[in-house]
Amino acid sequence: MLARPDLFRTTLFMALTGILFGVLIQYTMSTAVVPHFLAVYTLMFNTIWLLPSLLSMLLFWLMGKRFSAEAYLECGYLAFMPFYTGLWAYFLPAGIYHYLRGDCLAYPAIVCYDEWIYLAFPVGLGFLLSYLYSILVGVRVARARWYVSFLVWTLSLSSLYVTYLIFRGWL
Amino acid sequence: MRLPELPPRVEEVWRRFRPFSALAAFFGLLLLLMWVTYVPYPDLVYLEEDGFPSAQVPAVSWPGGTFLVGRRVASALVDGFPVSVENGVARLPENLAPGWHELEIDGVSRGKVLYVAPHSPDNFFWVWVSDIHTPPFGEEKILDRKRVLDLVGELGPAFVVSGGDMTDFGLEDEYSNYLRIISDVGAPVYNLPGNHETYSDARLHRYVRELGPTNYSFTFGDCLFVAAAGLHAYRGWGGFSNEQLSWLDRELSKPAGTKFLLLHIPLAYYTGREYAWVPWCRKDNYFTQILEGHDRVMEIVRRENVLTFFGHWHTFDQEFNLDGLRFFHSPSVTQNSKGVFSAIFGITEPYALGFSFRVVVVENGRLRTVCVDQHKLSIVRENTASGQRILVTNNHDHSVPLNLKVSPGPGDYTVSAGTKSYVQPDGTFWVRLEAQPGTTEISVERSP
Repeated sequence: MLARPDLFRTTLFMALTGILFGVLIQYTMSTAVVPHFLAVYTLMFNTIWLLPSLLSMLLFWLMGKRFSAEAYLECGYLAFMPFYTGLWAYFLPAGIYHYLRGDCLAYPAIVCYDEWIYLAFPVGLGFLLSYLYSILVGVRVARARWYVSFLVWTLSLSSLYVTYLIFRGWL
Repeated sequence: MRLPELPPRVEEVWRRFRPFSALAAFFGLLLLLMWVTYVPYPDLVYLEEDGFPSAQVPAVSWPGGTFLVGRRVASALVDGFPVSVENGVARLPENLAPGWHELEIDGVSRGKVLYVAPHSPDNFFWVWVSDIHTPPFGEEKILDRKRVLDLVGELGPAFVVSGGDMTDFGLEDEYSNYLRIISDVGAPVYNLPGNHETYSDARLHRYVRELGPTNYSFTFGDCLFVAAAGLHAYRGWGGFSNEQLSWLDRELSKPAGTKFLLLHIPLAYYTGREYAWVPWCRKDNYFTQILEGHDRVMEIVRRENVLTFFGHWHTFDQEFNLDGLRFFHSPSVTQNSKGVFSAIFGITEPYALGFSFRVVVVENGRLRTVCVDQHKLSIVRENTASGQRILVTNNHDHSVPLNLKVSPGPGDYTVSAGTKSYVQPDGTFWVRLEAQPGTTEISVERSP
């Protein structure tokens, strides 16, 4: 990937899975797929990696590191795969299970019936792995020392507040 | 055919931009889709004066009481008998039995749209339920909610306000299940939409078809109730357009002794939740979920000294006093997850309320409210040889007002607790009492 980065291909792949995920999450939560929510969910899940990646890239550049932006962003995007996989790991089986059982949908199962624990565990684990992969991106692509990469990414994750503001308070 | 070659400068820009083009196009398309499907406010439906009462917004009154009709109305018949109408106010006879009655206005039948409550306007109670979140399927979950609403009906309120989020997503199946849930309440149920009703029905067309207007007002005695949908479509917060603000100003300016504003989205509360770090939800010393028109609504509420009720957050059972203004944040009917913090820190209340509703007592203009948890109140009736025995078990640490309907059959009966009222020829009557914490036994005995 470092030798032949292809952000174009990765984006197409992530977009396709993102749209599929948007449909899946809506259907398992409500049995209705609303285009507006499809756009909001897909945008939200595919933006989580973006601001920390851009901020960390900027910080590395300010530190005098020179590397391919395409490779860095592609690796940053892929580093968040475990996080997305964690979401899938809950929604796919839970959606099928509840739908076939006919007891409730995934949405009330999470917010009312304490099933958030089954969502929180894979997503939490996925996020932790994504965090570690992101640090590895700093080490391998930006050629920073591991503790510098750790500090840069930890600082960069604070940009998730902006994502929170955009999606919780605006979109 | 070969495409013409791009100028070298453009070729160079494209070569640099190409890796990022899919990302830009993807986000661009999503933003475009969001923009095209964006609905700022639902299509609100304001109940016209002449349209009241209706099947979806009935009139509520009391024996010998009054109710509003349009000012141009000349005549009204209740169960086929004429009642006096003057300046848009109809007056009922003293002997009219509590319950539902047929109403005909200016020769046009409106059906059973008049409810005569077994209450006095000087001392009555009504119930606020909200966030029922009826699912599209799952019979057990539907019955969970129905049991709460059946208990609400058993209490015998003058009327019930269902303060939004009665469905999870505003789906057809959810509305039909919701109507089943409230079918045995007995008293009128006034509905107002919540954010969840917009989730598959952004313009609230389905809501209006199933449950009627989104904005309306009604009166009971000297009290004015104004229900308003301060919602943004698809969003967990709300706001008021200029049109809605003018309507709100006009409605709340109507003369009344006590004024209630019924909303789904909280206007002012002081316990932060997931919006706590959104700057525009934070005011100096409270939070709000009303983003547009907030200051204007607060101004009207302050001017008219309005009591504001809302739901939405499920988890609070709080009264918030702000410079003498009172805001009531009520818990939900639907079960709530204990949530991550409760699970970690062992907090169970008030953050995990559910199966709960608020009872509002209005006594000579004074207000008292109590929250009732379905699992802490039970009313069991059993027939005895000489009448009926009613066992009320109240496990709250406060009393709960009751107005129990008793139908032991024809005859004259005495009751061992509470006040007997509105005795009907078939022997039916109502017993009004405050169920104190613990067990209260009410014996209904036939007089010798």
